[in-house]
Amino acid sequence: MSKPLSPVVSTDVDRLQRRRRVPPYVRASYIQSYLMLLIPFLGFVLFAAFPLAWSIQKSFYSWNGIRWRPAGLEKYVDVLTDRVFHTAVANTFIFLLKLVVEIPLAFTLAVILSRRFIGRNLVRGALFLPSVTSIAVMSVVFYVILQPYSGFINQFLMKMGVIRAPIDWLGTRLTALGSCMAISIWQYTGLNMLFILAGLQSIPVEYYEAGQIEGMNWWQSVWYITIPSIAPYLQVIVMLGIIGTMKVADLILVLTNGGPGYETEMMMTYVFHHFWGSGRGEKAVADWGMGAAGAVISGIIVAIVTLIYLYTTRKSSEYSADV
Amino acid sequence: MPINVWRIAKSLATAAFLAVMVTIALFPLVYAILASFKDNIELFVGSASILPEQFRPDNWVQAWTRARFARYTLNSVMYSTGTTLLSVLNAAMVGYVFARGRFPGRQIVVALFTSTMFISVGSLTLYPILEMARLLHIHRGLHGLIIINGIGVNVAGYYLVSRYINTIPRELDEAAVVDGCSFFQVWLRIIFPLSKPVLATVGLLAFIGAWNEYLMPFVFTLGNPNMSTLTVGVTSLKGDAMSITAYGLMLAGSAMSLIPLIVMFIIVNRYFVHGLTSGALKG
Repeated sequence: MSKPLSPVVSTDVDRLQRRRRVPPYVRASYIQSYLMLLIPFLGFVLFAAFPLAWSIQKSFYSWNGIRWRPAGLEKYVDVLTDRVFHTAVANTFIFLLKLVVEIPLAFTLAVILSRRFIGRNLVRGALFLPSVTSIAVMSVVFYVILQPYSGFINQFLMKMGVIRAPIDWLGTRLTALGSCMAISIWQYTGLNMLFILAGLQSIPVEYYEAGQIEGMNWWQSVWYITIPSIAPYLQVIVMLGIIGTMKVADLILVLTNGGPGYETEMMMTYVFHHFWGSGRGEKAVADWGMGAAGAVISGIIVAIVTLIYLYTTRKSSEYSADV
Repeated sequence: MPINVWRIAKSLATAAFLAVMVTIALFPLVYAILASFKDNIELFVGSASILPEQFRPDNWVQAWTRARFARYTLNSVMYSTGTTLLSVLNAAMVGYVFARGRFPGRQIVVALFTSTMFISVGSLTLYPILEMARLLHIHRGLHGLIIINGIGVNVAGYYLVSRYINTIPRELDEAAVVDGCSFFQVWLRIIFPLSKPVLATVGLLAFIGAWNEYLMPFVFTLGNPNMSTLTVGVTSLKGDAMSITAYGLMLAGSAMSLIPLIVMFIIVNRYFVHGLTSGALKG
């Protein structure tokens, strides 16, 4: 693109005048731009900004069944001293550990599938398929599969002789959380694999050729070339993983509904249960003030974790950008 | 030749690893479909085989005729289609304005819209969204949800579309302007028809998202089961007191929700994969 030559030397006054005189086409394009953005902007105000403002405001109020009354920080104290909320926060962080399995597994699969072989696209498609399914529907399927007596998993393990008595997978905290994590890994590994594959495709072949000349073996080339080259991708993938994992709700609500007791309650399901009632136990009835306060606190926790993650990984992506 | 043996062993191990992974990935889907043809006694007793002793369509027939699943399927189709149409229009326009529009306040709008990726943290804002819908009287049913999803901010879609439009030469716009097109007409006559491929991807993502969505349709159709979508219908079976005897129904319902998606995925795999990777990562 060549810059048009100006025939005369323009003075400052000239330039100012030109800036003020917006051509009619441009002015019309402003108005049309605003009109085209109007409806999505309304959507933003009504369904993104308002809900946020509502939650923050109502977290300082308490609903007594008829109307809201100001409650100051009462609901925050209630939430922060609520043992169930402690469990929910702990569970959410435990749930994050699934990424320790999910991301390396996705990486391994991506590295294998970045090489050419017969049937590669079929394998990719099959591994990705779980990410297309509805986690709520699949939770129903897993609910049937995990049944202690009639479920396929126990029947299969007993037939293989791995276990003697059926395991009540959803009946204890450890196995229920483990099952949920396994299902989540099942669903998202394929998606992360695709993301990583997109990153792998961006690495120039020359890097590997240079590595070969230097006498690198396969492991070394993965460690010294592949991983540093896709570090910026991995950073985004892990961040999306962290945010997505902390938002987990559908899976828990359908599979365990936070049970047994409150043992698998997560931050998001805690908030949900306070708005809609869990339908069981002492917390069967909704408490909207607590729901709003819980939502604000949970939102802050997610934001803090995201910021800490971004801050601590900044170095690694800067490093790889230099390379 | 020891090296060759080593190499063959390695590729066999890799193949075995992939085979195990593919089996795990596909197993629950295959199970849901095959086991939905078992009868309830077989499901209740349980077995280590995923093939039914005898293929019986009873669960499907019962789900379709007596358990409202015909209605749910229709609702799901209408809900997903409506959401898709509005989302595509929304993303097509905003993506264009973000890519080509130069107007005062542009940065602010882009920043505000992008921030929704962090504001709308799942179920945290679910209740106030319903409150707003109540104020607007669109809270009882799926039509309200179509509007909310359709006009709501869809950042990934905007980025996909605007990045695609950036690859269309600006000379086309300029030629159209010379011919007397306004900013809006340039979109309508030139850019919109040219961005069809990316709009297909956006539409596909919207359709699958709506088809699979659970929480929003659930709270919008609470106490109004005739409006439920398939996803909500299937999960509501689990909460019923009858759920012990409803495994067959649950599996048939799940299969009804899964099969159209799987078929669609096989047909349009390419668009979908492209959209997901570029929409989430570079956006």
